[in-house]
This record gives sequence, C-alpha cells and structure tokens, in this order.
Amino acid sequence: MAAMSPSERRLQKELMSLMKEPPPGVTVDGDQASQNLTLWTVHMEGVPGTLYEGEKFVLQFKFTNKYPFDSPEVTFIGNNIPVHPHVYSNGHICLSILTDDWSPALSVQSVCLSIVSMLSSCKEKKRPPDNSFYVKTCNKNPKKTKWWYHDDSV
Amino acid sequence: MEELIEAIHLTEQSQDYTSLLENMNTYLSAVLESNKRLTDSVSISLVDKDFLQDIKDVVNSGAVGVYFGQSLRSIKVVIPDDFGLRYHEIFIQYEAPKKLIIRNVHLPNSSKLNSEYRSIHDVIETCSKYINELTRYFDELEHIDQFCSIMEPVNPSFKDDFRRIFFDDRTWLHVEVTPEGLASNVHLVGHSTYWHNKLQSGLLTWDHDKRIVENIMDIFDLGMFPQANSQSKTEGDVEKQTEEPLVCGICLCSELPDAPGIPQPLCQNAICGVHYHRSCLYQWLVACAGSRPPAFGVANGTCPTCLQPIICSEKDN
Repeated sequence: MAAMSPSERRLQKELMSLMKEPPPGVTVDGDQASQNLTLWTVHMEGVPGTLYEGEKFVLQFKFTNKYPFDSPEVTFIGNNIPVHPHVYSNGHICLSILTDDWSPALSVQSVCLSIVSMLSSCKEKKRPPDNSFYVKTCNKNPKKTKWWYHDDSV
Repeated sequence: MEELIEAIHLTEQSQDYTSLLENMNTYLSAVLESNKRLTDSVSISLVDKDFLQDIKDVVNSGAVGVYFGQSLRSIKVVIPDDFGLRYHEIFIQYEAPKKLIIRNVHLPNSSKLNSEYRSIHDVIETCSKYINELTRYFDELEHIDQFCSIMEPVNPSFKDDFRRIFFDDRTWLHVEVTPEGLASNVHLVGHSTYWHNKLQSGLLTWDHDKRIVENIMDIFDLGMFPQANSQSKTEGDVEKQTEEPLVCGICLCSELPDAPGIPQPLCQNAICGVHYHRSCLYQWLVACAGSRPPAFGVANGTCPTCLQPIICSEKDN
C-alpha cells in the first residue's frame, strides 16, 4: 500500500472515531468515505424538542490535501435543506468556523456538533435575509464567499 | 550451491561455526579454481578466503560473539567493554575483499566510525577504543534511564545522546549528554513558571563533578522523579489497557514517518493540555501569518485548541 499523506492519515483516524463513537443523531457513510477519503456524506437528524425534530438532513464534506490546515468545504445537499437564518437554499452554511475561525484542532465531529447546535438553537424557521440574491450570485464553493456574519446569537 | 545453503542453515541452527567455515572454504576453493566467472555471478552472498580466515580467528579468540545475518556478508559482533559490564552490538557489512563497513551501531556520533576497515579485527579495535572512551557517557545515560521517566526518545538507546525527562504533564526537561558524560543544552520543554524559575536560579550551581541525575534533583528540589502514566489502571477499564501514546492535536498522530519527534506540551496555557508536533504547530502558525517565514524561525499566533497566545520555533533545540 502506498504511504498515506498527512491529510489522509488524519482523515482515516477521524473516520474511524466518528464511526465508532458518533455524536447523537449523526451518522457518517463509512463505505463511501473510506473509498474516497476526500469526500464524506454525513446524515443528520433534527434534535427532538427543537424546530427540526423529525427532519433528516444530509451534509457533504470536501477536503483538500491541505486538511487540517485548510478547512473542509461543508454544505447541505439533497432535497431537504434546513430552513434556517444561516443556511442558504443552495445548501451553503454561514458559520465562522468553516472559514475565518477554522482551526486544525477542530474536526468533522466538532463541525457536526456546531451545526447541530446551530440548528437546535434556532427560534424561527426562515431563510437568510439575502437568500435569493446570494444564491443567484454566489460561487459554487462556499469558502469563496466573503461571509458577513449577520449575528452571533445562533 | 544448494548444498552449501543447506549447510549454512544447519550450522546456523547448531551455531557450529567451524564446520560452516570448513564447508564454505572447500566450496569456495573448488569454485575459484574451476570457474572464476561463476564466482562473479553468484558473488552477492559470497566472501573471500581471507575474510573467512578473519572470521575464524575472531571466533577462535573467544573475546567477542559473532553472529551471522542473512548472508555471510552481514555479520554482527558483540563486544564487551573493558570492565565486561556492557555489551555492544556492531553490525558489519562485507563490501569487497578487505573492505568492510559498519552498517549500524548503537553508539553516539556513529558517523565517526564511518570508514572502510580491512578486517573484522580492525573494526573491533576501533570500536573498543571508542567504547572505552565513552564509559562515563554510558554511565550517565543508564543512570538517567534508571531514575527518570523518559518521554523521548520513545525507545532510548546509547545511540541517542539526549533524554527528555518527565516532570509533569505539561513540562519535560531536555538534557543532552556529551561523549565525556557531561550534561549540555539543559532546558525545559513546555512553559511552567514553577519549573522555569527553579532552573533559572539553579543552573549556575550545576556541579560537573556530581552525576547528572543528582544535579537535576538538587536544582529542582526533587526527592524522587515524577513518573509518567502513574495513574493506576482502574478496574473495568480494560478496553483502554495499553496507555495510549500522546497524539498531536493537529495531525492526530503520535510518531510521524517524515518528521522526527513526538508531540510536545508546547501551549503555555496551563489548562490547555493539548500536545503538538513542533512541525505541525509551526506549519499552522506560519500559514495563519500568510505563509511568510517568521523572523528568527519563531512563529507566534494562537493555540489551535485554546486560542491563547502561543509561540513555536521551527527547530527543536
């Protein structure tokens, strides 16, 4: 077997621990991820007792070979994109740890937990105020967007 | 040829070198006489007559142990020091007639021994001399290994002329030992004010007539050395049996194939507790600063885990 690169080694370790001890409501598609370590699909369930109870979402993680020095590209995919003030209807997520505040000490697991808590703390289901303009004009890669964080409350 | 190989296998098991050598000898002389070209084609595992005689002499002298590797061309000799206290292994490779090299040896600065030797006897003589010069070096390292909990190297040997001694979870003491058995480049890894102050005030009182371990105990007021992994295993904690090695907060690995060293307590924040490989942390801090190499090779920024200020030098010293 060819020697693994540092990013592959780390992704392999993360995958193992995420499959072994996933956070509640989060499951990773292990077969797909182990075939291609740079593209993961993560299934997420809305937390009981929150506005998203009973809903199912799918997250896609894309990694570059600079990971973990470079943040992963994380978007919601599939036909159920959560209606949330920080989630655009094309699946892009406005979350500072995915761009400016990324740190190599974060992981797929901590990103999942942040997104779960972002959804759970939502008080009103609505799209971001600039949704239609953003979705029309944005780059396919959410990391290319210069995010302007609307608020820090959720 | 097969017969010979079989003979070698047999003798390897029985450790009967004399009969092996005789077999080799007979075979070689026959081949040499009948067809020189054949010897060239199969010479990968063959050796010359002088070398065999050389081995024979060394074995017969009885002073050193001789062991064979995959072929007669790789030999290990085990030589005792003058006092017969320690035994040192020297791996010798036969390159060509009267051309031997030392392939591996568990001694510091082994590049000193990099030269061509005419005979095994030459090798033994040179190494014995070097080993006996290093007596104090061995004494000090053995003493440190005996009393202290060593974090790095992971498997300490006489080849490594430094030790990183466990003080607490966030602090190690780095000590290098010179070939003369003296301490040098003593410094702390980690940023504990407590240990740092002790080192500052005590370093000038270092007494080279005392042993390194005694000096360290005096400077840091230690009655005994703290032991790493001393937390006793609680019952029912069987899954986590073997103490997990410290992993780096960035790459999640312990030892890296392409960079030396293990994760170190580099964050100054006492409650952070995350270790990093120097190379990983340096890479991240430099990337945060726009990939410009920092002045004096020291990068600063914030700890990826606790976001407190952190500094990291490129070189481990």
